[in-house]
Amino acid sequence: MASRVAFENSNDVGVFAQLTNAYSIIALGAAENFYSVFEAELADHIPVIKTSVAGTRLVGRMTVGNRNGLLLPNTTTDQELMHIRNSLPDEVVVQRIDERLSALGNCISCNDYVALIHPDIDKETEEIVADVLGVEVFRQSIAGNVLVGSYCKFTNQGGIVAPQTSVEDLDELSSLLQVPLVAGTVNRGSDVIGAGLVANDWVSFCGLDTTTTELSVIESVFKLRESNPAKIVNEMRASLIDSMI
Amino acid sequence: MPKRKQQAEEDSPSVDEEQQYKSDSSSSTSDSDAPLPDSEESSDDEAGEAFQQVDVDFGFYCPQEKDFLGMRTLMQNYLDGQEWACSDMVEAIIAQGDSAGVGSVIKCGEEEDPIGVSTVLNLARHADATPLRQLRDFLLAAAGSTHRRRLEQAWAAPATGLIINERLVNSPPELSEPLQTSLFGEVQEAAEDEELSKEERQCFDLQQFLMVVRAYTDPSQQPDKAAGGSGVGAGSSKQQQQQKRKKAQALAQAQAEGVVHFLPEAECYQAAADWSFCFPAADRVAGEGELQPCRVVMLISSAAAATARTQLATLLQAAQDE
Repeated sequence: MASRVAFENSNDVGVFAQLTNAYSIIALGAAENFYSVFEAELADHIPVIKTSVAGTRLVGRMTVGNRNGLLLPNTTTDQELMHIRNSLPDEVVVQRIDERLSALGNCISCNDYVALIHPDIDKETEEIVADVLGVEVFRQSIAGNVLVGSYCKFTNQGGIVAPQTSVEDLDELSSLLQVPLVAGTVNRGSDVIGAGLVANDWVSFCGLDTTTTELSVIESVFKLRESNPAKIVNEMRASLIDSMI
Repeated sequence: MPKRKQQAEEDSPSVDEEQQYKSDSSSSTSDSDAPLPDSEESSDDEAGEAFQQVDVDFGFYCPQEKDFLGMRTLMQNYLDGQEWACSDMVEAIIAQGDSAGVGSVIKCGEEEDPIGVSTVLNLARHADATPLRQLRDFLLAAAGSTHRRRLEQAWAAPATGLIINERLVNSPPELSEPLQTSLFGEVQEAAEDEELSKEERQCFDLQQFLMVVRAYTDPSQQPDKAAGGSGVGAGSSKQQQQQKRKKAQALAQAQAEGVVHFLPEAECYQAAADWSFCFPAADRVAGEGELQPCRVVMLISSAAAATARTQLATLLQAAQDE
């Protein structure tokens, strides 16, 4: 299910929210209808946490995470870190990392298995990403843009990349990530996909200006039409219980 | 419709203005070293000697779908930070550009992003549209008691157009004259265009124009409060009406004092306007003693607009000749 929503007249939902299969983080200060749209879809299945990161509302661009873990920039305050740790389920590892490129959401794009990172990220950070998020890491650029987190968005089902990506690049990325990829836009022609929408395996939110065509592309590439949230979340629980036994 | 579009596209190369931005800092430094030889250098060098000339190309193009995001950013703060349906407004501007060829976006050099947008919307035609209703409420709330009735009257009149004229603050002043000429020329053409339906043609047969612009007020030169407070009397005799008109003109001039425009066309229009008022801009603050940002709303008849445009031309010519 893809829904349209606006954060205080801004269409860039991906800037103010972070969404994964296990949790969701939203910025403070939005109108109630923003929260209600998110909570209506998500609250039954995963925790929805309201917080600031580094004192800003740009939670989507400063943090990166998947169902295994969450990475926070070094500018995150201790209270924020505490609050997030307490609100997230124990399975999710929360780590604050020291990285010069502190807008992690712009530099790293990941799903539950693979991550793409900015070519200039430190070796240490790359190792932490692989460790905490439990993913295989690739240094890549997308259509000549090094900000992989801004110009693409992919989940376990599929992904969208910036429209300037060539067909060869698209095929290469698709084979790296092992998910179907499509070049598209969001919010009526904006090529900054990562900032324009948030998505997980069963739901996606994009800006109010998104056209019907863009919305149908999002729904089909992320396979949101036949999605069953309960099944996806429970699959995770089942595998965890298995491992405890 | 394709013919009109092609015409608009053909128009743009001829309207392409090669603007020369003359720097006046080099002439004003009195005790500088020998002036630099004529060069195309476009930045100050280490010694601090100012550049001579920069050649920049600006183009006026028909508003198109690909300009949507840029135009939306320009229009986002039209209501001084309030949330409003600016996407719908931009859609209306694009639709009008497509169907009637009225309106332009200003682009700089090879850049795809618009730095300015200019168009005229018929208020009666779009009266029910959400963005215009929101704009009307916003302006009425900001208008003082004297101007509220005038604004309502102007808004309700059948042949009033809203001029949208937004551009980046540092756009060169030389853009204003060709922009205004082309805008009013397009309106005129649309009013006479055989290819458009009769209602559309009538929409562009506009008698008066409403304009909302950003400007600054100089706190040290506030207009006389007494002159501004005089209401409109209910006199019916000819003499009283003449007096009322004189008073209204004096009022308009009083309102225009103390307002510092950065858009040269706005200055000329306000001087020729039937009435105008200004109110402080809610989303921008300036320190004490600095120019205070404000919004100016004015109503100008189409005849007065034409005179204002010739005045604008002379003003800019004089400035260029300096």
